[in-house]
Amino acid sequence: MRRAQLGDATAFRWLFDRYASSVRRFATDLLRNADAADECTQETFVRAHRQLASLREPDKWKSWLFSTAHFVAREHRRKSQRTTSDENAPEQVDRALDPESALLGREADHLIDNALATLSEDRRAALLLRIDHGLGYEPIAQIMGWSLSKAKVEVHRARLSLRELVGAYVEGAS
Amino acid sequence: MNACDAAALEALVAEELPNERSKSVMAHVMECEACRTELAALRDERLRFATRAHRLSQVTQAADAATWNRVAAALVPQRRTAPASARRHALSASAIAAVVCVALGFAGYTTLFHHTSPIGGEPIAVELKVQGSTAPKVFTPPRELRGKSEVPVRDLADTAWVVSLSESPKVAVKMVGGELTVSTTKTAQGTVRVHVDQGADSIDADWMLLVEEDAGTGLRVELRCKKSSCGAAPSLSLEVDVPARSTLQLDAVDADLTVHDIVGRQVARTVSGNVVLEGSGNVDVHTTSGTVEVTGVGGESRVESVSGDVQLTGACGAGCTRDITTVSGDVTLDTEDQASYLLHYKTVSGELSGDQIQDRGSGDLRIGQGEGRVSVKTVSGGLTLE
Repeated sequence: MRRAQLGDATAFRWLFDRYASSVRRFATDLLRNADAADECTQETFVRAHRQLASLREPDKWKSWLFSTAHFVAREHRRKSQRTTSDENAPEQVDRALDPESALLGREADHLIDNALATLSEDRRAALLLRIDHGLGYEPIAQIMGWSLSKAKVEVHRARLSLRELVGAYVEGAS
Repeated sequence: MNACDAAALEALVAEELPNERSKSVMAHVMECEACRTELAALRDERLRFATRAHRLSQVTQAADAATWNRVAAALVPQRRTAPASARRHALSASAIAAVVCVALGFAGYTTLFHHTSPIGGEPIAVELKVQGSTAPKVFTPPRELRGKSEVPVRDLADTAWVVSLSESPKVAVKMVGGELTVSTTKTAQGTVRVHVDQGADSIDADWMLLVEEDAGTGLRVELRCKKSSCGAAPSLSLEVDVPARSTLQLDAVDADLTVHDIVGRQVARTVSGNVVLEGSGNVDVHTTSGTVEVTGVGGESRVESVSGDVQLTGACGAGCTRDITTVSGDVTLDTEDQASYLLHYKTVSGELSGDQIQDRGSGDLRIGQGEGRVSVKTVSGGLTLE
């Protein structure tokens, strides 16, 4: 991290390789559009590179990066004024698995995608930051501009909603 | 913990609790049916998202690589326009270099790369060459490097250095983009050549190439940024010839590494470049997505890869140990007639193939007399015995 702050391109490339996939997934889950998420990922890392030297606490790089990604996604949302309807849900081709596994994988992913889509954007972001990206509640509160208690409540409610929808699907399937 | 504490259970699953606290929570969970149910739900939730993340990361690898190219490209104009003083400085340096070249000719340009300090021992030659540059090329024959040389990549012309080294020097190379080939010298002198596969105008003035000797015991070649930030790095093709008993430390991003016939220890760390090692020294390779080929190495080999495929060929027998670990990269092992080793393999979901291997997650095999030891561990990468 410190090497990247000093301008070491190799170190910054390492950070990109380490976090690009997560940032892209976060942006895709927020914007529900693969192209928009692609632009958001790019812009997030460009801004991160420009502002990296100003990061005073390198240990907080991850939450700082996701804060940037969240900000960029919200900017993109405001500019594009796109809806979050299912028509805009990302379509991704699974090249890595055999057809059967790919089918099961897509089904599982769509189950989570659809459940996430029922949440408000802020609640969805908070839940993803906690469950998918492993951030603590304090960084989540800072990113979302909430109090710590509100962050916990929002994640808890989002988790219950997700659990209810996924559970209903699994029970229905069985 | 007397009641079911959802926050504690969540922190437990997220591995955020101190060890003692984890033990007390788990002790309660063992006695509490409701907590076990909640804990199972939290773990199931975590597993769902982790599986999804892993699967999507495989799907988006190509998109991530393309995004990096755009990020790198977007950063170049930022550096060119922002630091006006740096631009003036760079232009001045280039102008001075041009004037010196014109005024003093070939020999004058050469002096730009020299720092004076006593040298001794066996020399090594370093040649640098810029391709695709709009600047006129200047050919410089091999010369002795005294101390170190650090020059802007965009100003490089064909250049060569002679460096004194011991018989078993430490050689360290750091590069971003392009390819590196390391070979052995048959004489006391070696050769290194660099090709820059892009025009000088597209290379940021702050990218520097450092070539440095270390008191007769080592050589360092490093592409680095002079200022606080640099974006798209120039793609270099670098060839280095060093004594066969050299110890290598190679670090690269987006660069392919090839090493021939080095018998000293070789450590290679890459992000996305491919690695080919041919020789008999001990090797230690870490890569993120590049493929790794190790040929003819009979000593100790350790290869760690995230998504890059790994192939090891050549006889592995007495005194040979190989440890290969990948996440999703496939592993191919040679079982030629001379091979003699015990194989232990373990995979979570990777495919296993080969005449002698059983289609299950883990096992042990004896190849030949079983004198060496080979360990292969993967998450979703396959294992093939050929």
